[in-house]
Amino acid sequence: MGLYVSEIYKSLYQTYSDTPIFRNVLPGGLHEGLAPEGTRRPFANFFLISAFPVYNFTSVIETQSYQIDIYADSNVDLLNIVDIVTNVWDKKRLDIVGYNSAIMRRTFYSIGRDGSMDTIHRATLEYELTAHKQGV
Amino acid sequence: MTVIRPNKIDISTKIPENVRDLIVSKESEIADKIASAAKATTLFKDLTGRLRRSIRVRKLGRKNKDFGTTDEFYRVEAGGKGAAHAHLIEYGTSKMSPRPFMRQAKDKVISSLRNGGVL
Repeated sequence: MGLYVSEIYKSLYQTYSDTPIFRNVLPGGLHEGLAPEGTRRPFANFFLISAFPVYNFTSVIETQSYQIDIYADSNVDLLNIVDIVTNVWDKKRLDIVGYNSAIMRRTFYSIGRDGSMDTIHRATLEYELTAHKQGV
Repeated sequence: MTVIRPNKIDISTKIPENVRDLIVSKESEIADKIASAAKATTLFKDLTGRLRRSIRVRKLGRKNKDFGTTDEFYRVEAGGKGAAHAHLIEYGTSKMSPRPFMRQAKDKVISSLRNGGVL
């Protein structure tokens, strides 16, 4: 009974690629880890902060925390993207191969600036993905 | 320390500059374990050793108005003098991936406690 981490990533990315409004609002794309240098804003990065399983006799619950950073050139753009991303991901139920059920919950968000001259608008969101698997 | 500049929302006003308030525990033992795990991280190099040294547990008290007592709790902190970049390491920037040493340490300890039947 493996972790199926590639399936989790695939499912998470699919929520972006299968949602036109999500895709269109991020022309620079959604990147795992760090976007390549020179990526056109707005874009977003997602990053696995930590993951741990909780076992009981008949099932396992995987808890994964993700940080999503959104970068934009204006505050108006940024807030619009945050609204769309949270509309798609808040309490989103995911279909993941190998798991009976999975849900995403937002646990943190902040809005601020980035870049050497604070010219880049940045939002940081944190989600907890809980995935349940029967039979261990 | 958090600085709010007029007409501007700075990242440090929302993301805690000292990476504090993330981790609060009522048990000193749990707080100590989290701090130890954070210090043992290999997520960053810390050439000067200042960031690693800045990871600490602080005992705090909060007055309980209902009972007239003081509730004690413990906060795991990193950053401050000499390591003001702690939040940049923890949360990353547009040019650097996050190295979430505090959040990973917290989850590592929580995982061991949950699977050990403590939580």
